[in-house]
Amino acid sequence: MDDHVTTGRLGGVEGGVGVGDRIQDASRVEVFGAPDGHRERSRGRAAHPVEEVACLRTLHCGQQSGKLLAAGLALHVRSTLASAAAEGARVAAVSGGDTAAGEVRVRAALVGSLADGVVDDVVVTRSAAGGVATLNVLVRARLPLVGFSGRPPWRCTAMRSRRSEVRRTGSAGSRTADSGTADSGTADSGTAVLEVLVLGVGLLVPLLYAVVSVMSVQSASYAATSAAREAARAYVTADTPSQAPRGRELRHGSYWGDSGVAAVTPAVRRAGTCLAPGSRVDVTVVVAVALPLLPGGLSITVTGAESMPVDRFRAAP
Amino acid sequence: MSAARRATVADDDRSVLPLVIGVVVLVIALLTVVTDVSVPWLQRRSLQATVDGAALAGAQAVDLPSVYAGGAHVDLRLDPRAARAAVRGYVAAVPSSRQLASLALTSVRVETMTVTVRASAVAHPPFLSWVTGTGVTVVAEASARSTAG
Repeated sequence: MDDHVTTGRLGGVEGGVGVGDRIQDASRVEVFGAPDGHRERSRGRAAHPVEEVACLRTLHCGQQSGKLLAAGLALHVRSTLASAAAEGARVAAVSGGDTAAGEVRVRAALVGSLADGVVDDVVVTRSAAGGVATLNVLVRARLPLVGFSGRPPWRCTAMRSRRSEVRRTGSAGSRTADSGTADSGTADSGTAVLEVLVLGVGLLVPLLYAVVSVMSVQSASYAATSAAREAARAYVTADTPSQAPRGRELRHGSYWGDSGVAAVTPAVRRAGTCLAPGSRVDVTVVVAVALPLLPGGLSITVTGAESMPVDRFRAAP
Repeated sequence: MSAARRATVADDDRSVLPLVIGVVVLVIALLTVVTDVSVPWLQRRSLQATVDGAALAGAQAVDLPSVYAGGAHVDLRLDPRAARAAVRGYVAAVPSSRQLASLALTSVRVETMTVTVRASAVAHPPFLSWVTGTGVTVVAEASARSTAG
């Protein structure tokens, strides 16, 4: 959100408050937000510690929640993009290194899954990884987020209008004493801390856990199906079964792509009759997704099972 | 401390709760949407993989009698009936097709050397299906071509 817009809106809300005050408000808000150099300056603030504490706490709470939402959304978009990129790379590879076909597939796969205009560009390049001709697909996208930069419009607006009320009360009423301010400040921070603790620990932390867990499972299932498919493809195009990828290569090969699945041990089972012409290869990739913060404990098993026919007119291995 | 002041402070206290509740609702909505979007996505990819394999299997059904009669370099073409049978047989046998609900081959087109397979399946996003009782139809198309030489 543009700074000038914010300031203009603030002026509209506050009415009679002077320009200097407005700038002061904006700079305080931005301390917890994106640290823009010129906005981070904090000025001497003797007055209004009460509202400031409460407001900042609300703001902080809101900002953390916003980040939680934004992070969940970002993880989802990332998994989807990685999956689409893997699909594009695969299509480009099986259509004889046709980079345009890969790009078309990436874009087609993302239609209906992400909002239009999210994807900035798709770059398909060729390279050689370990002597094997490889296609790399890079998808760049802008995250369709509200306030990922820490400067979402709704929180700031809410806070500022609240502050302006206080100010109006102050200028119209008889508030003068600094001691009164200090008293209410103590009372306020007590309940607010309790509230933030109870709500934060009771609700937001479990939610964060749920978001992280769901996203890990999603990412792992995308990666497992993708890896199963690529492994099946690699297997049927290998000359002999011994040249086909084994579990070890699968574990840290390009099969997993940029899926963010790192600390997993895929168990690969193969059916089929050793690349006999006309037969079929089935690959099952089983990934145990360890749930965060539960070492050695609970895990969710994600399975990717894909198949590929073996060429009928190939040389028998 | 003035009454107005106290009221404002109380106002600030209460303001955390609606915010947190709002966020909880939003995060739950996010998780619901992410789960519901992921299931059709995975199903579509699985369907795509199945159809890719089916097209490849179909493209293997070269019209062998004509090859044996005329040689591999003249008029190499597929046997449409055998190609369709190969596509159907592959889809019926492949393990991944059992995980696709209402899998249906909508069209199998056999040209000279190219097999184009189109299929649809119904994905059931857990939350959406629970609410509406319906699923999302996913469609995939693949073509494979045999080349001689």
